[in-house]
Amino acid sequence: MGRYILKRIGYMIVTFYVVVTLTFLSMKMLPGTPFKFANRLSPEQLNQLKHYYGLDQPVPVQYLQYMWNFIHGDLGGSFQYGMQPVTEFLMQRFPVSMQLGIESMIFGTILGILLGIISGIYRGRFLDWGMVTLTVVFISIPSFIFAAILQYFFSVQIRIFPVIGWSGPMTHVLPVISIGVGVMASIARFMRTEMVEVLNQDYIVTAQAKGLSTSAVIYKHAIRNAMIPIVTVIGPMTAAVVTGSLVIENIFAIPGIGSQFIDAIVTNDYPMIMGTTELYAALFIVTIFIVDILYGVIDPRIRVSGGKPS
Amino acid sequence: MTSSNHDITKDLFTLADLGDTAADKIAGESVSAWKDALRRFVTNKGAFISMIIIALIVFFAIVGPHFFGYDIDNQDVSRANLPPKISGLEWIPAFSGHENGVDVYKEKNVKTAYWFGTDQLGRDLWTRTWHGTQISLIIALIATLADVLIGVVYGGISGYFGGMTDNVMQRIIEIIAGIPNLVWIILLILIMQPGLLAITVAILATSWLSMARIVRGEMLKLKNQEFVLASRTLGASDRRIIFRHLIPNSIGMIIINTMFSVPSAIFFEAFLSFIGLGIRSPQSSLGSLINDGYQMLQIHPYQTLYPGIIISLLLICFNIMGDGLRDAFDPKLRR
Amino acid sequence: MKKAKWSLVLSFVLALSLVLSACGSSSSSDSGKKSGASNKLASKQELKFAITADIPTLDPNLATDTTSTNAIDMTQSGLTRMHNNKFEWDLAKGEPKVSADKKTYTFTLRDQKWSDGKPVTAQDFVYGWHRQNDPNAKPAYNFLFASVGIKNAAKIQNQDDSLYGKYDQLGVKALDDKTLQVTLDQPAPPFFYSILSQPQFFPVREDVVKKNGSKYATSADTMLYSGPFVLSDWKKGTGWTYKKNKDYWNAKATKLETVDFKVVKEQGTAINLYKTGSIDEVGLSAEYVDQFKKTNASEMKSALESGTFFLYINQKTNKNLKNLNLRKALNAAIDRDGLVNSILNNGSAGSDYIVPKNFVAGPDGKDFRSADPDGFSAGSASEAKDYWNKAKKELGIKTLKLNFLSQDSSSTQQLNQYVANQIKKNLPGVTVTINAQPWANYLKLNQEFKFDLAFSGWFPDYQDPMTYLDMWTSKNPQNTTGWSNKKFDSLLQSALTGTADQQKRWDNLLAAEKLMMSEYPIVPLYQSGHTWVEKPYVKDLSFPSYGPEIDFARAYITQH
Repeated sequence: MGRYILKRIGYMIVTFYVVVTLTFLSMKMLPGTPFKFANRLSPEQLNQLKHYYGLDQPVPVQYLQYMWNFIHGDLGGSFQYGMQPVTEFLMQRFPVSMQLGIESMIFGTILGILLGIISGIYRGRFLDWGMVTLTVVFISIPSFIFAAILQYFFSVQIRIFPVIGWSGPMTHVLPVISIGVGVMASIARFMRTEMVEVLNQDYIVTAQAKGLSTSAVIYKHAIRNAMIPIVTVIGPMTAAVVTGSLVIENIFAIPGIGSQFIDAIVTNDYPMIMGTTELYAALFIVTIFIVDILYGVIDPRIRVSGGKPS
Repeated sequence: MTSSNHDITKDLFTLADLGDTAADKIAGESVSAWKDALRRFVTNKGAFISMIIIALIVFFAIVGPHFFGYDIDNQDVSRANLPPKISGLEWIPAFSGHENGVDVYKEKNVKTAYWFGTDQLGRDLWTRTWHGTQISLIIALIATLADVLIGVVYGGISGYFGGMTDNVMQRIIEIIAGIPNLVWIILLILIMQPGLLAITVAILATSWLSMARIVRGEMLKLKNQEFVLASRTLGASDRRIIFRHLIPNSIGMIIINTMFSVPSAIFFEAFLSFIGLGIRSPQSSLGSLINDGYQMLQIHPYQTLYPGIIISLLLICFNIMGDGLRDAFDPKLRR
Repeated sequence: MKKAKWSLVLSFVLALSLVLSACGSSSSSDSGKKSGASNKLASKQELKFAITADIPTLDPNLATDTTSTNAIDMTQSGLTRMHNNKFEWDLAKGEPKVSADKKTYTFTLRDQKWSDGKPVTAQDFVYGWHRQNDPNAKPAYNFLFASVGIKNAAKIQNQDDSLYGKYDQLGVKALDDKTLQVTLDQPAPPFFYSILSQPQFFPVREDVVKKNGSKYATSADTMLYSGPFVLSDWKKGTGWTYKKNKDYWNAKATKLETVDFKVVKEQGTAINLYKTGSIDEVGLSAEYVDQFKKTNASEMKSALESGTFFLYINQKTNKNLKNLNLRKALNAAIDRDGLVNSILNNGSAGSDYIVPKNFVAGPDGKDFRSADPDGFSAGSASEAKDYWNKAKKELGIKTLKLNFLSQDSSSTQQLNQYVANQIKKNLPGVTVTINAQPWANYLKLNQEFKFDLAFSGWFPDYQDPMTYLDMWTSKNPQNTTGWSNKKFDSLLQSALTGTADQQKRWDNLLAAEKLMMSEYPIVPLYQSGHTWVEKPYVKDLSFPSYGPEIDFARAYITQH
């Protein structure tokens, strides 16, 4: 296992390097300049600005320069924010998005697994239908519509929760619910499917035949086995939720990284786009690594390191 | 016990003459997997009704835009923001043409009734909604095809062979997934011009990833199970094992994930509209309509409501139908 | 069982529609009713705003956006300060001494302290002006120095000139701690005093810049203040707070004690904050104007801005567009009233002119627009058809395809569709394809002439008609129409150099606009407006057309 993990870490570094390089090259393909006020400048003035920021050098030189700085932990300065260091922004903004994402994931996963289990056990009955309908409705309402309705109802009409902010437990409730219900619905659907499948497996039938009580069968065998594929889903979903919450961040004015990212893309703020992308990629690669390791831990039948079955 | 039973005596029975082969005959007509699936799907009422609703929506998506002879860009600001009104159904509050108790049609002196109302530019929302449904369905169809074709094959090969193959294939996925969708899409749109084609390619490029990962997970789970070993012992080829045993056994997860890729494709398009990279105006999609309506959510909620209901209906039906399909195809559920 | 399922679906959809309709019908009933506007000052002088962007930088030499500029305007001071579209002497103690040739101006400075207690000196001005012209400081907007004609500024910024980068040759000198001497290449243009209120002309403390390095002006405590307010708290991404600056020389004019800004990007969220009383003012987009008109009409205010919006017509690479009748047809085809009333709906005014209304007055004290108040309309929709028919004959064409380049922001989407549809509808046979692009790519396509029509806007760099007119001269890079007129060029050239005779200069500028609009090289669309609601107890808050975007320097709160 130790060797396997070391090898995986090696691969992770290579993957990450490729992502960084690809991002850098794609930035060079974006048309236009990062200077928002470029329409006010003459071509000479623009060239001057490009020169100040080293954007007139050949791409390989810029690339080496970028990689050199990258290794030294310098991701450059943000064009839209008066050249303030990108790393500082990421360090300020990212934890907020991370917190929002993880809270939403916890909320959604726990509820989703519970709903999925109940739904799977009572398959085809009223409770199951209710659950299916509910989850589908939650999947089909865009989170921003849901968030806007929640905000209007709970913050403007009833006024139990603050309209905006990220500064105390009360401010977390609405955004976490807004993102969490989507997660809940997805997880519940997957969990239900798995439960239904597992409950039809031979070993469950065997366990029941042995005389184990239904609850024991469900707790000891069914749930544990049904959870395995859920782990695969949760990993990438966490990464997606952390980075994909920008609209919710905007609605509740949460100082996360999402809205920052859109601004950066729209204004060609290369260092900011690259920094955010790299962080996202790192998060994603690490999550997948953890999932793969967990996979082996949860289900001893799987040898992650193993080759072709023989 | 009824008395008639007493009339049956042993001598009423004679021994049937069994040939050598009759004992091996399987009772009942042999049913092919497809026929069996179809039979079971049709008996599933929920799934069947869902299929009919989807068919209806598809029908309206094709015919609906031509109902009133407006094209999707028929603007007239003098009839902007009219609430829904259906002549003859005015007694239903939702179709009365009233908003906040005011008859907007009378106020703006408009004679024609607009079934779904009009938008800020005075365009007929019935026409635009069904046109949007059409576009969204096309996007959903492509995403689903991509999921199934690319994702299943990629995930299947990667998970089944494992080792170096898996390693390389998974690293490629990580690289593609590691760069946010948005960066891919911006690049594609800048290269290809915004529009249906660019959106489709962008969704194609990234949507199969989660399917590939899920199928791979299933493969890892299944490939060491006894029935695979049995099949291998009997000399089955890799191809046969993957496509005849492993994938059919993962079909539940595949169908569920496919049913998710439909909404996520529709929403992804909606998200693109939200940041201004979506379908090219004056074209519409359900996503762009909901986004336009979202700006008006507090003021003219009907502009979001109808596209919203159609999305919800589509997704509910796709899901129930997906469940039905899964039940019909999953070999493990054959009883 | 099946029944149960469908009733559940149905009830959920019903519930959803109820919630949605609840959103529509009910409105904020609490705000607006309690107007009772007394004129007594409230004991708590606090004003709260929502704003869409964080402050990018506090560095006056790097600021290019309205948020930064506003923050710098409110917390720092220059020689002059704009208030209600007129300049006032700020750190300059009244009129400067002007030399006979009107090229040298000697300002005497007022006693004013930086927020660390040290006095603002003439040397601070010199350093700030030098830094603005030093390529190594990576300045933005340094071209303003050339526009106003500060001595050698144009040469210092020109890479091919021997003076390039030699900012110590700039026409500014500290005669002593309190005396600043400014030299110009020619007699000062009329906007000289008003442009001195811009951050680029502010004093900068050398020791603070050097001490903080790259951290300078990036947080509340790496900056010094000298204006009506100081920045007391700045949480990146969340918001910031101004406190009254008691050491400001004119502190008695500042009544507000605290001004709070929250970063909120969603218009709907800002509206909700206003309704719950968490903020005192909010700008309204088109959709909300109608809503507030019905419910809070007394709190609604509107002002014209100085942005002018138009369509470029590319006659350089599209031969058809060289035809004057076709350009007239395009001009006449678009109904501006429908555009400003139904699409923008925010106090914008439809325009058939280039230099906006209520922006600048001439030597006679009259507004530039008073000569041609309604501009130069090409006619109505029916006249558009006549022009189009003439153009068809002259060009020998029956149909025309136009590529309409625009931006992809959500606010321009409706406008794009309206403009395209108007042309299509009123000029039968013309088809318009909308090409909405992100800003950076839009600029690139625009500068490469890859469009037929392009939507654009212009906000002034300084308070003078020149800022709207010189971009249309033949060699100006902003003139992406390919239109060129020698007479127009010479009129502007004489306005540029003939700064000594102000009335003649003014007449030249008036003549230039008239000449340009007789050839319709562009399609003017509208002059931007701003509509907002403010609580009845907020007084003297203004959104002037030139100067601070949100001017709360003299605002106050009455008892409520």
